[in-house]
Amino acid sequence: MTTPQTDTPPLVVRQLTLHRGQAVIVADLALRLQTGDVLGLVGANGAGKSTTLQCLAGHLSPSEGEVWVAGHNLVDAPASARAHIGYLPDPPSLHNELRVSRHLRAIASLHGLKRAASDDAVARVLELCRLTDAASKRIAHLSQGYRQRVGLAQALLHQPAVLLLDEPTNGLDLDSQDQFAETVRAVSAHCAVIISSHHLSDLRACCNRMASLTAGRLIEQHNNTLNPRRDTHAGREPETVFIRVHQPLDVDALQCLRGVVSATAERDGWKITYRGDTAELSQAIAERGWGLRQLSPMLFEPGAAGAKSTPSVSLEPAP
Amino acid sequence: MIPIISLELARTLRNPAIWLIVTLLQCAFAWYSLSALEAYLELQPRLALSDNAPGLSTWLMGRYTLPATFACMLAVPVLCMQKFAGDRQNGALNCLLMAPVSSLKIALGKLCAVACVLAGISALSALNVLALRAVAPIDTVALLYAHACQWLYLLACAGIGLACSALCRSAQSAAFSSAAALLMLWLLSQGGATSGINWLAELSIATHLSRALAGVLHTGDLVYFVAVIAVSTAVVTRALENARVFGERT
Repeated sequence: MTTPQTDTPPLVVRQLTLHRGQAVIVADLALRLQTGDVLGLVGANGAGKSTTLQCLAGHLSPSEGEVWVAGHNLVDAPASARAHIGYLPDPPSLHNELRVSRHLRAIASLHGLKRAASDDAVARVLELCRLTDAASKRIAHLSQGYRQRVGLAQALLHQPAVLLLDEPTNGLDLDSQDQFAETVRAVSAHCAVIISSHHLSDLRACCNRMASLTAGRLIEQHNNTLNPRRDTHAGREPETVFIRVHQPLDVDALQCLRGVVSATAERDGWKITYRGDTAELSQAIAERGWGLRQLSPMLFEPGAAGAKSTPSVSLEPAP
Repeated sequence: MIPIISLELARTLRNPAIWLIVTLLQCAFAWYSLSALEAYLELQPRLALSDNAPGLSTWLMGRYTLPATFACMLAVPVLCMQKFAGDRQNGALNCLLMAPVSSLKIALGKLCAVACVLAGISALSALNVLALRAVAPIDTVALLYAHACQWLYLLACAGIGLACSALCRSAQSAAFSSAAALLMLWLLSQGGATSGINWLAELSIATHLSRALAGVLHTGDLVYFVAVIAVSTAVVTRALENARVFGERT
């Protein structure tokens, strides 16, 4: 069982940099998370999300910088720091030969939980991750969605101070994604959470902070406005999305949609500045029978000032 | 370390391939023991006429334990290949690397788990000859000693197998490389004997086993086996540390 010191932030990252040869994988990352923070890390494939999480999980040593987990330096005291980290890699790391409950008991004992505490912890995470019915099943026989849940249960077993989830909604159906968001919201009361995904919609359901990574650089942070529970802003910031539809459209048709601020024709779709929930936008398009083919957030305006030339924006509050 | 041993044993015992290997080894043990007994019974009239003729126990230690140990040695790469390389392939190694456990404890935990399985196999091998006590006088202590040496030898082989497994990316390449390394160490004694180079024979794992099975345990043999195990464990620990620093590529 891990209990972080009460006045110590669960996660502090200072100037974290990772080189591989000449290539810079993670550049100058600074971050401070408090208990209750759920940070969504968004970025394209190859942006460095998984590598960043591996560094934060102590699964990859940084070239420069420091990572402090519940007051323990990840480089100087890796075992103490790892004891406060729950990490769900992509794909989850599981023992396929074992049954779910046996696997979880084994992981609990690796974290130093005694038999009775281990049994309690396993029962708790089985219920939390809705795995009670699969407890006696062999992991090799589980579907991908269930494997993700077992991975999440494994990460939560020792009640970590920092929970790192790499593409956790991969392979989950819509119901399971909702349940996952609910679970994350429930556990975030006791820990700091970082979730990586290249699907912004996955993150909005449960995150209260957002950061985006491009080529290993943390270049933007914006408040998540689509999580009603955590929405502290009265109004919603307009955001830019890119859509492609089957039907030919004109600007007027798009601007008639509720929440659309502006619409611009692009080469093979539309760039829309939109104020509201993208789920509602996709529903409105679907209701009109336009045949939505793609709806993706445009985090960075091509050529916008600061998008690429600006170095990493620190998420650490100024002293 | 106990949780790692327990976890590894649970996983090993749930692996059908291990039970297949144990079954095949038992068939080999039965074949070797009965062949050795038959050969002894054929030679017994002539042996009875000579002075200092070997007894059944001495005969079995030479004619049964050595080939039985060789058969076990061939199974060691298969036992060890999953431990690191196989786990690396299916991603299960990350479970241990992410846990707040030192790399040395992981290496020793896996070695101890393999040692437990090898102890079971050695016990099975010993039971095959000890069963002959029902029909013939057998020196139990001498045979148990021979099998303890067999276990120590197999543990050294397992150390080499685990080191190959920790260094390889796939289970198959781990099995082939450790089998090649063990056969090379076995054949060094032949090379040393034919070329007359003593130190080459001393490097051979078979030389030390033969001496141990002859009934006398030299300190040098014990040091050799312990050194092989220690060096292999150091290699495994180093490989795991590298995986933790540079990441585990699957």
